[in-house]
Amino acid sequence: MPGLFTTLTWMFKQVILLVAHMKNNAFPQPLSEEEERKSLQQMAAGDLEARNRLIEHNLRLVAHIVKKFDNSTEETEDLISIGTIGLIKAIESYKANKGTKLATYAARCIENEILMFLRSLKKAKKDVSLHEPIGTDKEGNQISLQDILGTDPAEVEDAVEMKIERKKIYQYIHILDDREKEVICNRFGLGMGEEKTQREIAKELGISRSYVSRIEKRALIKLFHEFYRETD
Amino acid sequence: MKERHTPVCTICRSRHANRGIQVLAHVICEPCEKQIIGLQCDDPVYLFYLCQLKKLWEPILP
Repeated sequence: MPGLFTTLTWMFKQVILLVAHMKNNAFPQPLSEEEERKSLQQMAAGDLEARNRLIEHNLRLVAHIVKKFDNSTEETEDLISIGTIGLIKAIESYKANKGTKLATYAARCIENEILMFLRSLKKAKKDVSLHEPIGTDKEGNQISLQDILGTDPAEVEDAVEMKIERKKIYQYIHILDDREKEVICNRFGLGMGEEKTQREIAKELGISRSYVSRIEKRALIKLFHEFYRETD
Repeated sequence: MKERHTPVCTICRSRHANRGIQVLAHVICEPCEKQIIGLQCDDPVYLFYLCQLKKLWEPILP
């Protein structure tokens, strides 16, 4: 019970701080109707500064929508980031000639983004664990999902772990440059290919083995850095 | 020398952020901007973007 009280107090404090900041004008002020109309025209003509201005001056809207979700268990900071994704999508896809005001359209996009995220979390929570007990055998021993999968449990676990590890690499692979991607994909058999030695990759790319080794090391440090940042 | 003056992307920390989004003293490079626009909530990379976008709000949030 004290845990629940602490959580509620913390959530309440977060919302109060957010509201206080909005009132203290820490957010860029909304654009006037005329400024907004002009910025939209400029954006339609390819002006990136106008697009940036529209995003920046509508950030207040994100904070405003997030307040509606203060009963959610998600952290306010996370909801604000999700709302920001919704706002960027809204500004990029807004069509002035559709008759909807930008603020109305953006608010809908921000809210949708948050709702979709909360829904995807609910779905993820329904995922089952390989170790989760699903019943008992005749002797009363617990049976888990991996016991009935028909293969050696250790093998199943290894295969699942490998799949998860690969998924993690795919998640961050975009931070690598083209050459680093090529080396990592070849070294660890990502995609359709098989694992290759540094020597084989060096031969294919026409560079020395020690250079491949340096590229691989740099790429792994970059990836490790990203994993670390997420778990930090 | 020129590279040093190119802003670093808040999301991927690459130095090709000249054309992307510039908001609240932060920049998001064009490839990351495109990723964000096509991002789905169940995409494994979504949490990475979510985490990086928090930095955008640092100047105005407590």
